[in-house]
Amino acid sequence: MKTLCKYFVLILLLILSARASSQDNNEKIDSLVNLLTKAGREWNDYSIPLIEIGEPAIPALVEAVKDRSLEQWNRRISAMTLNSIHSPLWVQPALEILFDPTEDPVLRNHVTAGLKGFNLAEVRDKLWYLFNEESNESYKSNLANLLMTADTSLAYEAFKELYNTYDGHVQRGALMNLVTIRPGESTSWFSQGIQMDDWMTSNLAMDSLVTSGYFDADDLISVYNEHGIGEEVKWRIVYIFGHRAEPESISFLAEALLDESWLVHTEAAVGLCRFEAEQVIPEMTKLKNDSRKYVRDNSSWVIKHIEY
Amino acid sequence: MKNIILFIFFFVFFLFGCKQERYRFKIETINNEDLKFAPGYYTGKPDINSPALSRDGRELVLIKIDIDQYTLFDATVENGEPFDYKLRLYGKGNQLLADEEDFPSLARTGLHSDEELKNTKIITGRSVSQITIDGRPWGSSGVGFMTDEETIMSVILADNRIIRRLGLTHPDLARPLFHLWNISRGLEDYSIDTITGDRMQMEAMLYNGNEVKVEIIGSRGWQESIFNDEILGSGHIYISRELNKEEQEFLNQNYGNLPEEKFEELKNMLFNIHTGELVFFYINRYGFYEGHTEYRIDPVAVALIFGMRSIEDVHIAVGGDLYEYFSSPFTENPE
Repeated sequence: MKTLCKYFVLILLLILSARASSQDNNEKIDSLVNLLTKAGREWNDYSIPLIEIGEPAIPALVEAVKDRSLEQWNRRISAMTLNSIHSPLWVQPALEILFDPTEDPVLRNHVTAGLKGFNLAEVRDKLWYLFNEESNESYKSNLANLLMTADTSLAYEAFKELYNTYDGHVQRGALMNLVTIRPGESTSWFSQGIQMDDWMTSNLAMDSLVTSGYFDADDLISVYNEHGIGEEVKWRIVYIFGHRAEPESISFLAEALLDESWLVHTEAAVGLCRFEAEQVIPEMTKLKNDSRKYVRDNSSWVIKHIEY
Repeated sequence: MKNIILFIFFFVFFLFGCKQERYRFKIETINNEDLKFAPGYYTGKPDINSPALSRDGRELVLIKIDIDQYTLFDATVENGEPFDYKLRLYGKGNQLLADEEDFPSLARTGLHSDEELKNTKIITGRSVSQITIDGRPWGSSGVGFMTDEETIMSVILADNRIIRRLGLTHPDLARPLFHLWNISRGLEDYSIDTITGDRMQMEAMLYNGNEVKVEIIGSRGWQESIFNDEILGSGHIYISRELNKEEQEFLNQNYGNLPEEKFEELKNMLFNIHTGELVFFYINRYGFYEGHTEYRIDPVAVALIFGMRSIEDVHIAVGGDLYEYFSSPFTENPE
């Protein structure tokens, strides 16, 4: 009986201390959220500890985000804190904000970051509707990213549309997602990509074609030979062949060495040096008596610089 | 024994014969005694050469810090601790480093040879065409490192030619730029007023008899290099000086027939530079000053602003038409 009493007292003490600790934690959360709702540039001082606390802080933070009497800035930083905690508990409140047309548009865009990676199949129609209604390319891009975990066929359509925008970051992101959804189409997308004006997109496409397992040499060579194709597009194709050991590479690069464009023939010369000397030198020797000085000089340069 | 002496004689002769000076513009050596360095200062302009070399080889520059207040600063161009915005390291960086692997002639003599440029198709492991694509507008930066008509090699070739005609070297042109950079950054260590905490400011840098104004404005991000190197840029640097009477007269006589707008444009191009510190490093390392972009450091303007060449010298060096020189892109590739 005496032992039982001891256990009883011990359990009681444990319960009381847990309650006290939980109360302490709640007070800490309330205090930090309270500071966050009034914070200026120093907001990270309160946001970071709340992120460290994690899920227990979510109810108080959600309350702050929903409080329309607060400054928009303070609602947004509360949402950003919730996004960083990245808990399933934030999904439903975030969706409510996202689909509420009376909400602050910037806040609606912010909450998309907290929804990334969660299964959103149930709200795919609403997301698609919102995507089509939205005009801001950056917001649209965030919605398209959410469609990736809602309905990939809708996401594909969304990124196809975004691929034709002028914003380089949006375009580049769209290209990456298009080939993630349908890797079999990557050669076709990347072939288009190297012809885009945006430097980030065309570089991504070019670098991807250098390493891609899906590669169609004939397709790229036909783009190269298209009438009126730009000098930079030709340069990109030469760069790709100069970095890929394709059966067509050496003959194609030797052909590109004759191109009048400095960008094109210089890249061809550098690219040829990456291949076996025994295969390249006979091609270069044929060009030693070419009537054009730059062809003679570049073929000699390749012979001199290729590694035996 | 005789053979040994002969060998030593030839060896010493060979060593001195091979040593080529990368600087052609000479700086006078002065006595170190009684010099006042920051945070100390002179009241009234002291009669000291600026720039000057101390007896122990340090490069000293006189700067104006307030009305009638001057101080000397050790602004030596040298390789120091790493300089890397990404890692928050703010040493001097590699201020003297030249890309010896790609440009042995530049590293040895301070100038590219024509043969060297003709054979350059790779710099820092990147093809010169790739560097060109990245360096054009809307490539790795919005304004670009050269115009759409220029290439990395056409710009390096043209600038190398003009510097040769000026009788200078790339290190000659990089040196005053690094001096102003080292002074501006070094001044951050000195507080002239312990109560207000106001920092010592450089009103002007005295350089070969000229008062050169410098303004450096930082920015939040940084610009990546187009070469495969560690160089980054962040600040906006404005360098300028007023024309003196002789220079104004020379321009009036030789360029007075230009429409007023073009005449003012020419004066602006000759006596004003807007750039970033990234280009300072590019000059010594590659002999690259940027093409005709808003960040270009024109070597003619540097030679003139810092008093290494006169207005007449630069007029002759460019073939007698400074306006044409400044406004034409460099399109000839070395091949």
